[in-house]
Amino acid sequence: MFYVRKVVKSKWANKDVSDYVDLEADALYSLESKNNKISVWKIDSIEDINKELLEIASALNTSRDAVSKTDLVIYDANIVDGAFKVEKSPGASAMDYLNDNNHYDIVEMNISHLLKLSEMTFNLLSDEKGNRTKYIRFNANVIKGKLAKINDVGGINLSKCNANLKSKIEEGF
Amino acid sequence: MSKYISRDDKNNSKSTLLDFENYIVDVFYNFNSSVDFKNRKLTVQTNSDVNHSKIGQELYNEILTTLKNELYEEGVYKESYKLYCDLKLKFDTDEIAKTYLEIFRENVSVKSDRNIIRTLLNLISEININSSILWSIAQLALNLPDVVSIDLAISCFEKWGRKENIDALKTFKYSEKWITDYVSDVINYLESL
Repeated sequence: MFYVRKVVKSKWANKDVSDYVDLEADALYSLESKNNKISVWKIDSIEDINKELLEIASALNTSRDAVSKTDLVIYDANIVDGAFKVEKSPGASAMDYLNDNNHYDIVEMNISHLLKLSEMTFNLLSDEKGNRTKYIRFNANVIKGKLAKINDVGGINLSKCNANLKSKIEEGF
Repeated sequence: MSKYISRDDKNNSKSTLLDFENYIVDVFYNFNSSVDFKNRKLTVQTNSDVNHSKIGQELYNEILTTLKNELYEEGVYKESYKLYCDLKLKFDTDEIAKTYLEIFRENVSVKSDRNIIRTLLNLISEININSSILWSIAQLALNLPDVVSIDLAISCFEKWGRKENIDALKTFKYSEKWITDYVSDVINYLESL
């Protein structure tokens, strides 16, 4: 099993940086906590990774004004569960079935936890081999296509969608 | 003249800021007359000679301040986008694009504040108008010694979805696989349109 989170790959994969502590501080925006919780999404099997990850990437875009390329870092669930406290919680996307089934929070985060998660994230994102079990990027056009398909089968709760994006989905982008 | 700035195919991203400054000065001296930089004194570090005749200095400063203070997020319309929407009601989009180009030119060498350039690139990625000026900003950014800006520049071409931009991406070279993979994906997407 895996946990995934949206990040900005370019801020974590600086080829001139060999240690995560030397990354620019703005990289931490990808790991922003709210109420000492960090939102993650759980996927069950690596076999379904592309299908599930694309759905999650699409869900993450539903709160935005426009669809953009989306980078997901993929954490081994065993390692995360061993290092942090994780609790199931409802997600806030416009895709209710993902909110109900796949969303979790890393809770009770302190600065030490944040540093540990930063190091894990850096190690996964700085993998130059492009290992798809560590990180994946979905381009905007791929996500648009997926959102259109999900909407066709009623999988998007448009009332929860960002208003600008809602009109784009309804117009078929 | 090509809509694109000619460049040596062997050019990779400029390795230092000084390399890039020299490059960008050269580019602006040779830039297409539609932007009319030829009659200006061209340096990358001063703005005292720039004439913001249409947009005006006050609005220019407001755009600059907004870009400087904004924490951009891809796909999220923030103040700079709202300001663009307001400007669009009063000015020709080419004039706005020229202003963005001026901001790019004047701030590209400010190493201590890369946020202006990154936020500007993120902003123009959301402005899908047929503007060779905006295309040129993104193409210039492909040469920056900052992978975040390069990634945002490629994203501009992806979001604009215009076949005319394929050549700009095909001449782009970079050492990191994840970036070259992204460029290849965007080229394939544009060719499929």
